[in-house]
Amino acid sequence: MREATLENLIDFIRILRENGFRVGISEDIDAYNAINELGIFGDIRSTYYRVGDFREALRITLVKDPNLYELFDKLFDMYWLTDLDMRHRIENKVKVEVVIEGETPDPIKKFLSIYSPLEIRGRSPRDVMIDPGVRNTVRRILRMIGKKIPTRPGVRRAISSKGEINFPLSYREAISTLGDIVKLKRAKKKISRAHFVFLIDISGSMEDAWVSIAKFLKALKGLPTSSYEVFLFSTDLIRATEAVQMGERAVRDLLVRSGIWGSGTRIGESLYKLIGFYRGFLRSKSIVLIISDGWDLGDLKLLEKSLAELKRIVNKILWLSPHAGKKGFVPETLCLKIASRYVDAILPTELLYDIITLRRYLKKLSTLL
Amino acid sequence: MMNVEIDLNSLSVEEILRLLESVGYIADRRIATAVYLAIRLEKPLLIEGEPGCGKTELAKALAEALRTELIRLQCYEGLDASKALYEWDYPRQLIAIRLLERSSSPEEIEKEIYSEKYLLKRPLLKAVMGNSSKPPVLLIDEVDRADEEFEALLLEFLSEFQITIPEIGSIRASKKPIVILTSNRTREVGDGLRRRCLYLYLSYPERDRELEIVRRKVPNISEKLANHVVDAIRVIRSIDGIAKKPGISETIEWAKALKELGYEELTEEAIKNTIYVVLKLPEDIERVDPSYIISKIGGQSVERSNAGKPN
Repeated sequence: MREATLENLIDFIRILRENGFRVGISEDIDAYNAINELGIFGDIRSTYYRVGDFREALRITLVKDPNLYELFDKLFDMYWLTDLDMRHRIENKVKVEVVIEGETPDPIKKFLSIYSPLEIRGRSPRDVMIDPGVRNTVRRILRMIGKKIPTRPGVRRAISSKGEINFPLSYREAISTLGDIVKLKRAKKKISRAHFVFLIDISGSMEDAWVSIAKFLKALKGLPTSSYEVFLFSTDLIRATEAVQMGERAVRDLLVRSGIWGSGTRIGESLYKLIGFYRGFLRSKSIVLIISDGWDLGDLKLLEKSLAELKRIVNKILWLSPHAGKKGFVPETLCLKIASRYVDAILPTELLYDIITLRRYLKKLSTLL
Repeated sequence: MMNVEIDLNSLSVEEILRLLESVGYIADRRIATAVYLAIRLEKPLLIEGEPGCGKTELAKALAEALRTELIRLQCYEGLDASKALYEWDYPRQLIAIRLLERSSSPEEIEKEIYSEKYLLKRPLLKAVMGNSSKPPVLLIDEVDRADEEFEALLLEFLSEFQITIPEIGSIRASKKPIVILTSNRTREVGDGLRRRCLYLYLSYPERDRELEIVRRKVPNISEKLANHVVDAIRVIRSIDGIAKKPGISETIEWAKALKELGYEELTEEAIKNTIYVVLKLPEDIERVDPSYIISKIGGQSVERSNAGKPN
């Protein structure tokens, strides 16, 4: 058993941060105050006999997401209750990472989930040219989507002749004219700007769609960085926002480095990572666009669980499939069948770079409100 | 409960457990530790969890146990500062202007109409202006229903426990209220708010705790029925695809309903007749097979209870 000292507490918090916990300085202080308040701080006997209270105090002050409870417990046990190998690693500042395994699927399914129906392709993506016209079109399309799927109206009201009569505002104005209401004021709620999260499937089965996707990614470069996030996935998920902002070469380097280009598809596992590891990039006003053909033999239970959780976190989820615009398309793959229960619409990928297709679907988008 | 003054400075985790129990809230040590730390560290406590798990009830029970005032702010979409903090009573101010305009100078009128008597105090202002010897319990209920902008307003309030009214000045709480925020997780509460709060996730209670709650909340219930209800609820929660899983409140309501109908134990017929107390969606009701529940809880499948059902 390790003693609850300030030094050990700071070490433990460092390990939490290394494992994806978002712990700020104020929470460090809260944790210190909490164990002090409980009389555990600096007292090895109390730490030993009241390990339940100690664990609870740290959990209450440092963990603000129940999805991380299991990981927290593992790290707590490893750090505070065992100190063999861990002590060496901490003293030598070795990064300590713990992986919580999800439900282990059937071995055959697991094999198929790693290797999609198409063979693994060890190639890197091809170069794509983009003309300035495409860039403008993509930006226009994103603006149109953002307007059609507004996020929740805020509490702040802006004076607007098209708004509702606002009595408090009218009375307030009347105070300055000694009680005479000269004009009834009207106001309406402000709509906050859309935030996009693009989840792009770069597995082998999506290779034919790569040219369009690459053009789209190039067009994103230069947009305000606070307005979007890009994640690429196949058997794993990586954040590519910074690479997209830096340009095509950076995206290619990232794909080569990560080794996920053109491999199999595990959408459930990728979404699980998005929610667990990249949670901070998701906002309640986010519109998530999943660009994928839905060819997935990964853990379907995990996919369902992750989609349900994602739906809870964000504003809207749109699934864009390269096949969705084709005549007679029905979401028949197991993955798309599950997705159709959680996503707000399954739409064609062309929507992102073809303004004519977008116009055809605008009515559908406006009913998503 | 004895009428003894409670000193917040001398509370312990055990004492909180005992106090909550004395007002009928069966807490576990986790919950009591969170409440204890919220009081001692003067930090808001954010409680998340499934609906019906006792989040709101905890705030109510705490106020009752500490014999202090409960101030409740129910959140909803569109909730704004004028409904949460304060608002000037504009119609009354206008009347006052009319009455005073002939006898008073503009400065006197201004002083009069911006005095405290024209101030409509909303829950957050009430919580900081309280003049009782004990801090009130401020319950900010279902914060996930409010807009993000309201969260920003809460950030300011929760870090300083101070409200600034431009015409009057800043009002700071002399005793920081015990703040409990609840959320059903219908949307993600912002990081800023989470950082300022201690955090507790309430899930469905352990079997023994739920049984104890039923015994307390439904006096004179037969031991067999109480056990059956708790087991059946746990079976229903485990059924795949149930959209609205029953919480503790549904367990209590079901136990009360079955007792009122004279059942001494759970039977298939009892389940069929009362399942709407537990499940509120037709699709969920369709998913539940009474014989499956009976087989799982090990009770009788067809026999009616001896007490029978009243006419």
